[in-house]
Amino acid sequence: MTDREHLLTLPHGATLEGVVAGLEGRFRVESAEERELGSCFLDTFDVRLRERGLVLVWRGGELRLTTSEGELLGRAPCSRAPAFATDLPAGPLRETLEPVVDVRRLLPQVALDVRSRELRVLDERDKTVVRVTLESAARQGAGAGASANGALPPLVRVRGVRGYDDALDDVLRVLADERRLRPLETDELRHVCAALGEELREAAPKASVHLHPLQPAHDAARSLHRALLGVLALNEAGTRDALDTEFLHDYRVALRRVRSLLAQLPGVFPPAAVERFRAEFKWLGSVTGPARDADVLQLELPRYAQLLPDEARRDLAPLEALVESDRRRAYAELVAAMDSQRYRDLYDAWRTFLGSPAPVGANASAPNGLRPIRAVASERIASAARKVLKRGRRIDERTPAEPLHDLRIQCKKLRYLLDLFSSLYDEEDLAALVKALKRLQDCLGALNDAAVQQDTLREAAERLAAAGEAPPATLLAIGRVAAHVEQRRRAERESFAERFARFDTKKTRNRLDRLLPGGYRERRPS
Amino acid sequence: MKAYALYNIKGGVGKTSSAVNLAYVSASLGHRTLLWDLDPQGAATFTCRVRPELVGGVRVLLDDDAHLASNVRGSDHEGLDVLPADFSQRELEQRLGARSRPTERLARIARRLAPGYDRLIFDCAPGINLVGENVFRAADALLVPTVPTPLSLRTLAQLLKLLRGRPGAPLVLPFFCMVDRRKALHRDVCSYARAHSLGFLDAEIPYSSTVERMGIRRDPVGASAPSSAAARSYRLLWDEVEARSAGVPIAGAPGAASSPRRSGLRDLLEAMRTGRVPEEPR
Repeated sequence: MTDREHLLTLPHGATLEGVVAGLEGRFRVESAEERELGSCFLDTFDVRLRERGLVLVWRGGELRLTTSEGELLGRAPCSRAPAFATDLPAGPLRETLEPVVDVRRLLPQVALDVRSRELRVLDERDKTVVRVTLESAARQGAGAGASANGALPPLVRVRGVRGYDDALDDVLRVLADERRLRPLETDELRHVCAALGEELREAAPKASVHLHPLQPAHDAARSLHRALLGVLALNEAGTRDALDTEFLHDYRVALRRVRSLLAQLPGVFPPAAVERFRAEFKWLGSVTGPARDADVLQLELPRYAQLLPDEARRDLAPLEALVESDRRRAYAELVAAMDSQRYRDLYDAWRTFLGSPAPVGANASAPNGLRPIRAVASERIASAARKVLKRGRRIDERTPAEPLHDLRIQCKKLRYLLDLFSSLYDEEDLAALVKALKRLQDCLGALNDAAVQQDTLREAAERLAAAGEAPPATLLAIGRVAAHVEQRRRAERESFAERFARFDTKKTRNRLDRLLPGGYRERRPS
Repeated sequence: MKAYALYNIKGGVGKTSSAVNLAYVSASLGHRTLLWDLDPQGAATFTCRVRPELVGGVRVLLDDDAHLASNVRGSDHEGLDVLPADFSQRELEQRLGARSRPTERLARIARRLAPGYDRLIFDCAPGINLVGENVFRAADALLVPTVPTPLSLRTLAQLLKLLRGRPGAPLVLPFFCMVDRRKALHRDVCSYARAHSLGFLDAEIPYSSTVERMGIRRDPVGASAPSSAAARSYRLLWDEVEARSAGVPIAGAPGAASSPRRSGLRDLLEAMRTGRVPEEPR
């Protein structure tokens, strides 16, 4: 039996007092004092909860997770609206939420001031058999005498008690037939937003644009860049405020794609423009890099702590403090960069460039610009795929780190091309190709992460020691963590050969051939 | 799902009030909680204002009946449900004895209920019998409310002796209940137990008229008097029970997840047998 909450609205002109009177006339009712409480609906920036049909509300010191139909999935006492899943008390609600929300912040969608009165319908033993809550709410801060846009129509919540289904049916029937209450037609959040004239936050669309194979390359490229610019704009505010680590991460992914696209489609835009924008975007990459590095390290720290025996965990405290101060400084510099004239100029110039059609006579400096995009993209994908295979095949157990690093970069280039131009190719083949490539990338990525982390740890240890903030126990703890990371690096390195072999298969090569008109192999002049 | 049983061979020690109060704390923390009243007296059921009736009679507890679930009633508090007692449960002992696998029946039913709940709390009848054996199998931990008197400790020792070395025996977590610190005997027994590491939980439930009045108010103390000393001590008790049953070591306690040390109790029993009053530890 599910503990479903029925949400009912009043007919025009009816009052909550009328509802109370109606119930009191029919049932034994106990009424509690009216309470004032705050409530807000929470979700991540990318509306992960709503995408899964979940609604999270914090009200009156309690957090409730329901389905959009009102079925209760979990509740927990919570004195403040939580920011992160880790702010929740341990328990079933946190366990359900943590995998969904991950590191993203829970942002309030809309916050309300609520006046609420609870009525209990009782049986002959004074047992509560139905709970009815009467609410009037307004947008938080709207205050008394709120304009029409600030106040919500009154709401009645009815919750049954397990094992007393008849009583629930009776109450619902009385409310429907005698008081003419009607159930909400949508979920509560949608209802609240509609009533307040608020727009419901939607998930960002994916940045891959639907392209036509015969679209001129410069036009297709502009479409893609406009979509990517949209992603940058969407994540900018959250990045500045460092609401959670994913804003900057998504910002930088989009930025990398912009840069990759500019670099990998030569001859589509005039070279002078390309050179100029590449340089500026490179600058943007460099001012956002340190903040991301600090975020990544900070996310890793709890995992590092787990590697150590319980009594040694506290020894990492100086490292944690160092990382936090680095993070703050890096974000301050990032914000300063985003506030700068150079940043504004870049955006303005880029937007202008993307909005303008190709100048007449551009053919000479941008010979690929008017060619069909599918032809251009296919050439580039083929070239990138050949490079991945060639470089990967040259790597054996003795190969040092550098060629693996190059391969990682090359895989990224291929991946970005496949992602951005996915609309031009067969869905199934492309998906399979990307899946195989992703496995290879995961290995190379993990290898790189481990190498970077070792460098970071060593550097941090040096800095702490130089500043006199590293007691031996801390250095020892950092050393232990570095040893674990090294172990992981070795394991990943050893698995490379197998991972690459799984990519460099006949199947993959056949897919590439099928996917691209003319296949992927180099055309030799006959 | 975790199952705790409020169990003591002795009656009148605070099993029911503890069961109801702990179940309330559990639910208030967000755990879906079921309070199962196994005592035919039905005091827990009465305190929760539920009718002491099992539709289908005691048979639903024996035969893994499909009607079992429909007997569960929500309490007045969100997250807390009650499986009510029925006076016919006085026959449970006899009927269990007539069935196959007589000690495993309740555990089977608990498993059926498990998917819907995070915590199951048994309120057991006093005595030591086949129903008790069922509870030993079904529960992860026995919470033994103990009034701080020598005879209570003696009865506890009997329980421990019974469970000693049994494979799959539940964790035994005794706690002092109805403690009246004005009484020298209570103070002495409490400190004796602590000094000899008899394994009692740190949290103590004081003698409380708030708790006594639960039969009149018919509400857990956490709801009717949330800032009372009784309510606070039940919250602390719950935290400690959860930590101990998860194997988390508590500062000062003798190791993790261990049942009371028998040597301390053995000394006590020896002292009682020879007529000597238990001495204060040096």
